[in-house]
Amino acid sequence: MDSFVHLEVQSAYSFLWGTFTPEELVREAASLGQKAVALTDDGFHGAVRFYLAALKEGIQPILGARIAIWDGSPITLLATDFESYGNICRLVSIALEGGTLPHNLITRQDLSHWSKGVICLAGGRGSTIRSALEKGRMETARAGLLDLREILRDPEHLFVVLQNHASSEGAEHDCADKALQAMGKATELAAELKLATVATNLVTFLRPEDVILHRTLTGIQQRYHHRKVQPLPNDRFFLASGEEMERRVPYPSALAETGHIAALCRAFSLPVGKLHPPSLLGPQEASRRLASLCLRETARHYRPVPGAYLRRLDREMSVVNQLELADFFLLVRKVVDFARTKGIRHSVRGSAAGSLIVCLVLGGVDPVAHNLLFERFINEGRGDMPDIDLDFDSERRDEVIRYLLDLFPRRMAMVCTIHTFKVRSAVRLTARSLGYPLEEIDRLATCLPWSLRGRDLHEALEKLPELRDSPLHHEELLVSLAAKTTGLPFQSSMHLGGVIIAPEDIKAWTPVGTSPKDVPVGQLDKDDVDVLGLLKLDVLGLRTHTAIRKALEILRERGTAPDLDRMPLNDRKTYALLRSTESVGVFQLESPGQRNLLGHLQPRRFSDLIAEISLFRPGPVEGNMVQTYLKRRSGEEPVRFPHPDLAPVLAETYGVVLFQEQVLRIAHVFAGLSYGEADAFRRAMTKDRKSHKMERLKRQFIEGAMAKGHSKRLVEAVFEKAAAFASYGFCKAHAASFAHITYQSAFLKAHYPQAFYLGLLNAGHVGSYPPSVVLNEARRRGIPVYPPHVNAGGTEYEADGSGIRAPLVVINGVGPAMARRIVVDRERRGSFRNLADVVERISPPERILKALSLAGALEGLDEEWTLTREVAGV
Amino acid sequence: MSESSVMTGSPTRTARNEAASMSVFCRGHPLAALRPQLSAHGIATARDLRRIPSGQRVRVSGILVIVHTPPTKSGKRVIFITMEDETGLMDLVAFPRAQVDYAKAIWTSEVLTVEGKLQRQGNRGLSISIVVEKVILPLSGPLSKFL
Repeated sequence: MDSFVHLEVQSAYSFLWGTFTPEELVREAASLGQKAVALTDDGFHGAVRFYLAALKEGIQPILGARIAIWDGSPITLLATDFESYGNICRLVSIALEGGTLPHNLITRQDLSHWSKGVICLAGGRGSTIRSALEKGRMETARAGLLDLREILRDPEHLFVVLQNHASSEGAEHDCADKALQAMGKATELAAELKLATVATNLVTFLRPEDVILHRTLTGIQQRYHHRKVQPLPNDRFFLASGEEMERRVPYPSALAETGHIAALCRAFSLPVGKLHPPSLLGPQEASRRLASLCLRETARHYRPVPGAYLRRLDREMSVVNQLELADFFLLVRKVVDFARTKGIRHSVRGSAAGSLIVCLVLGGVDPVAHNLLFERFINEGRGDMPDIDLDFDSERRDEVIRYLLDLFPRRMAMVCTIHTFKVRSAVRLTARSLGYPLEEIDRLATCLPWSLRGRDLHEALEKLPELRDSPLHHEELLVSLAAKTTGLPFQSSMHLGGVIIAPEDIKAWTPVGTSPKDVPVGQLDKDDVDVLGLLKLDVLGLRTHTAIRKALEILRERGTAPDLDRMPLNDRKTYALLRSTESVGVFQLESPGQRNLLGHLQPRRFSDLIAEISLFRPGPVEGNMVQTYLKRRSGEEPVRFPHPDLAPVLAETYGVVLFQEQVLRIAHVFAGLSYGEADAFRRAMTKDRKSHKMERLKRQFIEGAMAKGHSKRLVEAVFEKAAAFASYGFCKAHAASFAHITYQSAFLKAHYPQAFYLGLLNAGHVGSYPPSVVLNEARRRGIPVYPPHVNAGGTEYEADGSGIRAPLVVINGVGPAMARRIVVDRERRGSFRNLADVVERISPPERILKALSLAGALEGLDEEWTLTREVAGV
Repeated sequence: MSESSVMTGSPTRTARNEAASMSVFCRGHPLAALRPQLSAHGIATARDLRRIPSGQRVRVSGILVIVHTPPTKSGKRVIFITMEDETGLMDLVAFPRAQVDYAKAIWTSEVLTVEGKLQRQGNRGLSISIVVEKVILPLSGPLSKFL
């Protein structure tokens, strides 16, 4: 066993610097026989995955961060417990927010305030202390260490770092003698100040040969991001063995100190495996209010209230109370109430749409009428927080985020998304790093897909015919580096809609920075949030809601707006439109594959839309379910059930297991599993089929079904079928929720095509097709399309009689500002009379004037024709 | 300013001006201007496809709208292509054999003329696709060159 512990380690989550993932670090440390290892990136983006990987490998995870203090010196901070982890999170947050000092430095006060329980490693490479030691300026080094000892809440947690990165072929600054001298002086000074020394290596790559990858990444920072950053000088910054460290740092006590520090950090753990919801009203009061709200809404929705609804409500409420989730529902209700008050279109997506409580409290499709299963959403067996994903009009989603921010100041932050190099970006950026000119990079990247599903770059070059003649075949170094870069994280950004709400200060859980829109963003991705059991709300933007809202605004002005949210779902014209396969712009049903499926399936009712949305998914397609479903539906093939008991479960899908809810019902009805166990079975089939848990569930399934009197042969056959489809099936509640929006958009297209197209064109990029395809289809359906003109149209597509007028911004070079200038001037001073008038009033640059002319936006004005002819060279 | 009143000059020139100055075609689909020549070469329209029996070999031209390679059960790469002419959208499929010679043209062209076998499926034959056999005329670069 190697007793040395690496305490300063920067992974690829120190973006464009470190070269390995936390998982690779843990594997490598284990292979060296090391019993503990630290991860000390400049933030905590990789912390949770590192922690889990280390526990899995049986290695002690030590978490910390490298931050820069007031004089620009880097220090490494390590957490001894969860509280000190939170303190480091706060210090990283201060650095991210810029603090009171420039260049993201923290002040003495910051460090003093948030250093309780924190271990501080100082005097390493790049610090003022190290530089002073190397130059023999002992007073400066002494002052630096005394300063830190004074400031830290636990002075005994300050350690002086001994590092030796010198290489036999290294740069002058890092020559061996200098390093040895500096270590000697550091040891003397530490003894004088009664501080301990600790040996570290600034690990940035796992193996010496990976230095080239480090240089490639820093090259991207230099040449692509234009940052002033220096790569490390040699290949010594790797995960060295204990023996190697003994050779480099001949101070046994400093080497042994790494083990003592690891022992100090042993009390640290992340609180995984438990839920940490915010406490609002408390379980009892929340339950009372939720029940009362549900009963009120039931009475409002259904008159008289059918017994089935009351029984369902009772069943759902008892599970919600058991899991103490009423607070959570009321919180989401607050968000939805806000959206309703402000007139922001919204909907619930995902398995939550299968809940009657959700339907009553938040809106959506009727789960009883559509036979949706509550237990797919929540059941007694689930240990994680349930997801309620909300879609909002994407242009107004930020209002909802702001509302949440006001509701939970200091407790809320957005989830982050980690971006990794895809093959195309890896090739392009690696080439930039190596100094290739841009035109050459374009040539090299020709035909290179953005990502290579299941293939690496080498294999793609060998097998993809469009890459047969690729110039990349002659670029061995570039290809080899790009292949290594692919998959590494390179930046984080704000998740599209994930909002974390912590039980207390969010910065006790994760460092928090600020987005360009001034929204707090954490360093936990969506999986990390689940692992930590924090409450996550998905507040997503859906452009189709924007498109529908804009269409309805036009119709409201005309007094013809339908009530889309309350209409029956049986309009013949809507289904006829879908059967024609003319579904461009219809939510979820417009892609080439969905249009093709519409031709086959020929929907006639709402349940057909649910099936259509569920069928065209990778799972059903790969599982060959689509053809079987279609043949059985059209009568070309008889409907078969694995067993008569399963007929009620599978009748709606002609004996095909299409929905995840059906897998749960099979396990429940056929094998007598509880819904909690059935859902665990479904999830185990999706994630880890070989797990012990899966084996246990399989045994339970088989024993349960046999206890019901079924033969072993039948039971095994049904199990195999259910298991195979568990990972293919689609969540019916989610499909039903989407199908409702599908119906609404198809209804608008069928009855109000002009408003539908205008909504679509003005909602940003919606769906699969560019505006030109939408305009072409409108024209084919008899809606005239008019070009932009200085005397007509503005910044958005507009209704012009029964036609559509394109906005000025479709003209190359005319941005929103120029378009607004033209519109405002026209509204203020009347139509433009002639070309001279346009030039005088707008002063457009020559190139824009030419584009306006070519586009026909000046047509009808004097002199325009002459200019057009000149420009066209006629 | 009606739609017809702005059709100044020849349709080809109008389309060329639009291609050079705008991100959309307002006065009509650019292939409409070339239809006489395309028809003379036996090139069918998207609308024609609704009348042509399944299994027949057809030639079509269109502006490429979507090219994608979703995952398949077998793991073999299938390229799905959506093109558009002035009468509508057309969906095409290029299997690995066609990809050997034409994958590069498919990924790099703006306008394609393709020969292939028509497939109609579904009770009403409304699910129409063309299995690509040959790419006759790949055209890359700005659309204006073609027009």
